[in-house]
Amino acid sequence: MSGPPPPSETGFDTSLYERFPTKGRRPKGELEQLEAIWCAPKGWQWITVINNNYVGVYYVGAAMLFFVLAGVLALLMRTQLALPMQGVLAQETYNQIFTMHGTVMMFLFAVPAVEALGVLLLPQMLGARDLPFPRLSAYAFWAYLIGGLAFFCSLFFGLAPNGGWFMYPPLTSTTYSPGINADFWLLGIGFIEISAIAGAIEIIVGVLKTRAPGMSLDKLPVFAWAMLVFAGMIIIAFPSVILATTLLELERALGWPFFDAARGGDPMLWQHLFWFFGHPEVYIIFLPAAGAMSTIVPAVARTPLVGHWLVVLAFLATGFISFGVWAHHMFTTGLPGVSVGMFSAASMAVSLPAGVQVFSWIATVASGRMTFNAPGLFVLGSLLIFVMGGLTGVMAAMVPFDWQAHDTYFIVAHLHYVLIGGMVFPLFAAIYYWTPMVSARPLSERLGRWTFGLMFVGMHLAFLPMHLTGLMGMPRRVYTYAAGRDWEWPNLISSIGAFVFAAGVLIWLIDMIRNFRPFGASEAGNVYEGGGLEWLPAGLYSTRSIPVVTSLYPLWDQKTLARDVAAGRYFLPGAPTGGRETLVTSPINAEPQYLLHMPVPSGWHVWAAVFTAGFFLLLTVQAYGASVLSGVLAILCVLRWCWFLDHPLPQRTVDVGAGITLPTYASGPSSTGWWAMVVTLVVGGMVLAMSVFSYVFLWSRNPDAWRPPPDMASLAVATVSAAAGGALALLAKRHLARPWLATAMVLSAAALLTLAFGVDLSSWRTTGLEPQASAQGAIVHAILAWQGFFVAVAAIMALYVLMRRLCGYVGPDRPATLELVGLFLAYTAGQGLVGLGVTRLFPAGLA
Amino acid sequence: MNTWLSLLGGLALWAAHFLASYALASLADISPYEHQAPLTWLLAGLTLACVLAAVALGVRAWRATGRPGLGGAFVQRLSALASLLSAIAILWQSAPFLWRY
Repeated sequence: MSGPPPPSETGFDTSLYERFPTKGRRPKGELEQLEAIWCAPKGWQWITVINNNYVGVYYVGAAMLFFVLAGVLALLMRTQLALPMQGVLAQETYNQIFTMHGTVMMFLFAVPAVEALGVLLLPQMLGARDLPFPRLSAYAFWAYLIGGLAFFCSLFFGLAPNGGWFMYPPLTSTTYSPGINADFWLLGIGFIEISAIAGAIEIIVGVLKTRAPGMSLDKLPVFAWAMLVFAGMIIIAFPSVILATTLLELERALGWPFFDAARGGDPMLWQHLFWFFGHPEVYIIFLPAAGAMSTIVPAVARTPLVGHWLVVLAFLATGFISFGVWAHHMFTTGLPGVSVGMFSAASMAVSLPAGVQVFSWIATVASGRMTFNAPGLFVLGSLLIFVMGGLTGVMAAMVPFDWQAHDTYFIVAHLHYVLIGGMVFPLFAAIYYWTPMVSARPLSERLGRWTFGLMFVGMHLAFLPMHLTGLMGMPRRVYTYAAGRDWEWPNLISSIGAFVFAAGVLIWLIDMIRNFRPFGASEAGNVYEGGGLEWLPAGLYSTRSIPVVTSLYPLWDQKTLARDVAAGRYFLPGAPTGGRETLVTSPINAEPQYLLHMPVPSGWHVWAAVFTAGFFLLLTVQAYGASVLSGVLAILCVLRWCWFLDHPLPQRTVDVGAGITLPTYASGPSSTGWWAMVVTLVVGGMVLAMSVFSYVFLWSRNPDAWRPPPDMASLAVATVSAAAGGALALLAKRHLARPWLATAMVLSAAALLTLAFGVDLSSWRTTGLEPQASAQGAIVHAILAWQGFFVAVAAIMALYVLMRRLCGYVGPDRPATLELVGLFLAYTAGQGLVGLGVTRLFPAGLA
Repeated sequence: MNTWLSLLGGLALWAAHFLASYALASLADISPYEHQAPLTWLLAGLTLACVLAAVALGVRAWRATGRPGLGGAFVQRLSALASLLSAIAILWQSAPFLWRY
């Protein structure tokens, strides 16, 4: 992809890159200082560690633990279904096990596994010392592990959810699911999704802002592209399931009837909200795996990826189109014919970008010299399985066919072909391919071939017959079946296949125990001769120096790169500030902008994760007092964690190599904090958007029951207060030269937002609209509650600014905190105005 | 910002058109029969506008491929193809609505 050189994005003179690689010896002690700063943990530090080399391995390990646990549940199910009328599992136990199998595989294995792969690989792949918020990654990991284990353990007490992994109401309402089993799902999953979102924020900012200089978008590794789109999709999709789980929990705990048709709600709302998350979720899982495939295929075929830019386009197109297919899970629910046609068309369209990727991999394999090693075999197996799953997916996108196959074992077969071909096999390819990067020994080729062979054969034995059992009419989610319907043989073969597949996983586990040796002084290295930066010689500090990238496959095309990087001849060969640091670069051309001072390990993020988990889990068992206490402690831990941030260093600028100086502090759009806040606010905005959708949807179900809003005077007061609060918050940073004035403006902004919220809430209360009485009452109060949550956070932030001012930490030399708090408050004001506009003016304003 | 708009503009148009189509289809479902013809015309107009905008974005990006720009030829060609494909996708997804009414 040639063309004229792009203009500078930041004003940085890119001709300075020509100073690298530098000549001469590096100062004595420089490398030793780097090693001391990024030293290995000791004792308790193994828990508080934040370096991606550790957290990434923990994260992948935890995800694989859940894969094995959910796999054991699958074996139990297949044992029960091997023969008709078996009594291995009782019906209720079976219901809990199939619900947990799906839930754990989707929420505790698939998404965390690919996110974990990102945390582990991206820093080295991008040429960064670490991702920009390592404590956030560590927090996300601990929250996920604690919450996930507690959630899984509910199975041992008979308290596991039993309503299927998508938990449709009214089955999951208190009428039909009176215990706390469903609450475990709703609160547990909501909590784990927060962890996923935290990881996604880290990945987005990391990919956009911490790349090696020169790594412009055309040189961005294809895996990083996939992770960027993946994380963006999480930010858009996951708020929907967070809202859905919150609404259902509110219905169950407080009787707010969002999904109760008798009081004006509609269970279809759950399906819309769930599948707006649920279908993109499939691509959320698939895209990182596709990124890994697109990285591994060129390495094992020893040739660049064919159609690299078309694959990137396919990622982007998938990211968008996958949000237009959610209702294809609802073809049998009586949707309007036109909507069904639209969603069917989009469902067919989304297969095109997937096809582009598949053809790119096939072309790369065909044009190179394929080596049939363990990663290569998994890659080829994945291609075949995924294409088969994709073809049955196109069949299911045809509405008349879907009407016949819906809720049968045909769909079970289809989804397992897609998920195993599109995610599990690529993940195993990735594990075999990248293990030498983190382990002193690679995994065994011989055992790897056995693993592949058994998993490949077992997979087809297990799931190919399910197409037939489905077409023969066997419904999914049944705990047994009667003899004499010709389902016996296909089921028996499926059960045998499941155990063959499990044998493959067992051999992989043995291989891991025998050969996986992480955290050592050295790694096995570039066994498969990959071309990416992750194969540069590295220590706990990542690479010794951060290279200037001039190629998509730098190790293939820049012949002396590894030697020069290891000799410290590029950017940041030492630690000029004396602490942990990494280069922050611009999002498009990756031009150096500033040196990011990074945190050192501490226990606050671990405690924050423990107490956050405690908040949700205690809520599940209805220990409300203890839950609130845990929540308060979590907030205090987060505040203490943030207290370390936004402290400018004595060195305002430092030499980052070859005489190039960069600032050590930044705020505004060039800073990583600003990007993280904006992405976080997009999450809030998506919850708001889905709330507005829910409001309009519920109104459309029963417009005659909609009551008029409160008087216009309260609307005017609330609107003016919110707008004034937002304006004050944005203006505060202009007055940092007078820190007390700026602090007072933030406090006033928070007070005005609280006033606006209070006026809105009290005016609704005067109308007599009760949240338990009608769908309108429920959704209006839900929107109010969401705004109330933001106002409470805004108030805590304002008090935090006050505390920092009292300690002398607010001033023109450190504008970041005030700027970010201002952004949050301004967003809260905007959100309040949207909520006011919708609940007060729709549908009344249309009349 | 212009680079991101160029890169994602066509796909964002597709998404906006999809949401608008879904909203109009839902509105048509709860509207009296006599109101459905105007909704169809509204969608037809919206479709035409979105297709033209996507094509314009694509042509603009394609013409820029020879000139210096942020992200270079890679981003420009990606933008061009994404926009033109979005135009086709917009037509494709409108077909059920326009055909039905």
